[in-house]
Amino acid sequence: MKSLIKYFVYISLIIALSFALPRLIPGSPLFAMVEDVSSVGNMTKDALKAFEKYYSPELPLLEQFAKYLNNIFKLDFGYSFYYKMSVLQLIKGRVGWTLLLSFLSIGISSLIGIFLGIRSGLKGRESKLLVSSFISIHATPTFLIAAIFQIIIAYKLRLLPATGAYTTGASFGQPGYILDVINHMILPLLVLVISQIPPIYLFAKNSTANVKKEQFVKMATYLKINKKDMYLKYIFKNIIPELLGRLNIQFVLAITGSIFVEAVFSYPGLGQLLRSAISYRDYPLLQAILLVCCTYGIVVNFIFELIALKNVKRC
Amino acid sequence: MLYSFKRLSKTKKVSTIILIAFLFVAIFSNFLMPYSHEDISHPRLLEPSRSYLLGTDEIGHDIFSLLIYGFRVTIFIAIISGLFTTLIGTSLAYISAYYGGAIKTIISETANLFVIVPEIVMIMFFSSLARPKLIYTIMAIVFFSWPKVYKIALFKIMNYMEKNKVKYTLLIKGNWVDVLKKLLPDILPVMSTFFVLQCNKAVMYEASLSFFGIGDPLKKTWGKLIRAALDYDELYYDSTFLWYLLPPVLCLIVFVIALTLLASENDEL
Repeated sequence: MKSLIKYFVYISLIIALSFALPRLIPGSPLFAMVEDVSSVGNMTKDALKAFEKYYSPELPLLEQFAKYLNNIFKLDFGYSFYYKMSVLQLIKGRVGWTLLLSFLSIGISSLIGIFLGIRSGLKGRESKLLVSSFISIHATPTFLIAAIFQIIIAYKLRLLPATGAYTTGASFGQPGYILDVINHMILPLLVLVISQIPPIYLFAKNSTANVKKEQFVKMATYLKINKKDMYLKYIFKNIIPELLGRLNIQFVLAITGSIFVEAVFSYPGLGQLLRSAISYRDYPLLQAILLVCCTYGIVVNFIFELIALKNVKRC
Repeated sequence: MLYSFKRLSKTKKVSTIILIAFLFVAIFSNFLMPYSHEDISHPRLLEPSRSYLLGTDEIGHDIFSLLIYGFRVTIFIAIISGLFTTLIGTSLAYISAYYGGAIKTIISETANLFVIVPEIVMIMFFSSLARPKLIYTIMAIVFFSWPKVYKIALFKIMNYMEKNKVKYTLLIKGNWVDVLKKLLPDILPVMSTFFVLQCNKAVMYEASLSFFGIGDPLKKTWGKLIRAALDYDELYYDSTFLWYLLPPVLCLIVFVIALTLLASENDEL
């Protein structure tokens, strides 16, 4: 209950922040724009009208805020200048691809990462090369990994399609559609998985090494309990709480990761939306993406807190 | 100084040497640049030659000069944001640990909030709204990265506060300066690790921002150079990417990896 209130406060803070930031930031063009229409040549009169109707910059701040809140409760995020459609519709259409990519990548990378991590944690010392290359991959920005993969595999070797989520013109239900989607997904998914394995691996390895030092594991070794049981019952069970904490962070990171990867591969998710929102100065869209991402982070955290609570009760 | 360098592992020694070399290039970039970074009078799209080490781009910049100039801007951003993030994060942590109570609750809950939302999206939002100036990019990075430093610093400082020497200082009614004096030897090493890590993060954030086309277009960082290369349509037709895209990518990757390895607490390195 207490945490529910906490998360409610978080969400209201985020909403307040998303309202306040555009108005506080020095040189924010949001309101200069209304006065200087010539600076946004690609903005039509209609879009400007929709913009003024949504933000109504002539009202006093408090009323603006009330209106903003009201709009958000009605899930009305305004009208995108660039795409010329309602922001809600746009995001609804795109968010599925982003979630698909990030959830799939988390599933695959945590399976591989946890497995490898526990194995090297049990073995004790791992080869320097593996650890330092994992640290190096972890250090490299995701979009660079994506760009490098795109150059080599898609442009130079022409093995896989370089952009998009499906061949233009293909639609759901056509024969070969699903294969086509999978074909387009391999490369972005691969990049995401590669960028996510190292943190999970390093984490699993360290916590396994810590559990291994505990007395009860030593005891189990003396008692000659078979390897498989020890693996599952003694070690894996004990690193679950720590792993859950890490996965929580990973779920948030996966969204930002897939945003970058999507932007590189022009995958029709939030990332691509964000990129065009930024380059065409599409503020309502930008604001909505911020809200969606932050709400996602808060919700993920909330779910993991619930899981952690349940775990504590069971023990 | 030299003694502590000798104690480092091999990997960390190599990282330190690379970083010092990078810093050197950044400081003396004015002498190393064959042309000005604003000079666009060169013939366009030349291949590398003796007078243009990395060729020229589609506007007429000498790419080698841009790359060297990138050292200066990128490393400047890294150091300034790293410094401020570390300072703000640890001082807020110290304030929370020293005063406790409501002050601690407010600051740490704010930090919690910023830790659970994806920070790069916040940074992007902030800096794409602000005027495209370097200072605002740095401000955005600092503003949204201190919470992570704060959380770890708070944990460490709370541990050190339990130490006898600190308790004794508090007992004889030492004020916050006295307590800080006792704490400093313990927190300084932690702070230096934070600084290195935050430099790393700042470079990554800046590169990501540049990738999305945010930031001062005149201050050519490596990220901006990478973006410019990726925007060039015929990058992949021949081997242009070898001297246009690859050098800034390599510089960036080597720099962040050296920073990460230096800050890493993994004892196997």
